[in-house]
Amino acid sequence: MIFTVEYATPCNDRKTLMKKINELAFAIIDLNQFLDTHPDCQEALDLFKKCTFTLKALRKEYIMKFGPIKSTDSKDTAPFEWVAPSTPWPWEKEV
Amino acid sequence: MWDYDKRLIYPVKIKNPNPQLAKYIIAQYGGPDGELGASLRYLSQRYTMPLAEIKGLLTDIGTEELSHLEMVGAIVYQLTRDINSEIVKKSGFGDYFINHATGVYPANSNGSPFNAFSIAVSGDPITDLNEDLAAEQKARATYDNILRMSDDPDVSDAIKFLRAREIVHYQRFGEALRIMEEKLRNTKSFCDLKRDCDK
Repeated sequence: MIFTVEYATPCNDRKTLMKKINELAFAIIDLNQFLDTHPDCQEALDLFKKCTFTLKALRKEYIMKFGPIKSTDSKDTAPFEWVAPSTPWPWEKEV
Repeated sequence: MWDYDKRLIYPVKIKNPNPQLAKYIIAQYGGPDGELGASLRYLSQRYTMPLAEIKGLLTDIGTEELSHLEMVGAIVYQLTRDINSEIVKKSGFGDYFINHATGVYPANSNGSPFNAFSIAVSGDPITDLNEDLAAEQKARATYDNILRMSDDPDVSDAIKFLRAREIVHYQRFGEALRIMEEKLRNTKSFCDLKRDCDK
């Protein structure tokens, strides 16, 4: 159901791509906790595999197009991307 | 054991300042049923859990609670941007403002600083898991109260997410308790689980 064409197609809008990442990453958190108490549930494990695989691809795309998500994604060019205005801190009010 | 993504677990986009609402919501930052207590409780209890499933669950839920703490901080922060002393005086936010201005300080709605008395870590797995079930309900009930006091849809949206997660965590802890009790049933007697201090 979440693995529609919409998730697979490359995306050039930063907000839309980040929204997909947020949704999928959250689904994984929830699934992760379920698997902690149901470690033998094959259905959940299959879904986990699909989700993590797709998330990896989405993150790769985002980092390439828009910048770092983890600090280790930062490029080695000055100024350090992690603290550049182009990568704002997420608690700030949106302009 | 932590790294982080530069994104909130769920968006917080508050358009209108409201320091009175911030005063209510700060209870979930530093109050007795708030996210700081929740994360500290779970991340502290996990060390002495005998089963890997429960060490994992407490670490995973404890980590998620940290991301909730961050959301609550972001809500309080955004609710207190673009205000002035007149707004502060009229809103009931003045008492907090005197010591913290618009900084985000872990306290309850009355201004009492975060206190670890609000959490328990007994080192006994059955005791700790029952504490965790209660903690999730207390948090859920507090979010219910915040929703009763909020007339701002941006705030209510973020709060509804946090509330829903408490309910799911309650489920998970229920399962963990069941697993622990099952394990004990298969040992010689109930609560007969040797800890390091029993050797």
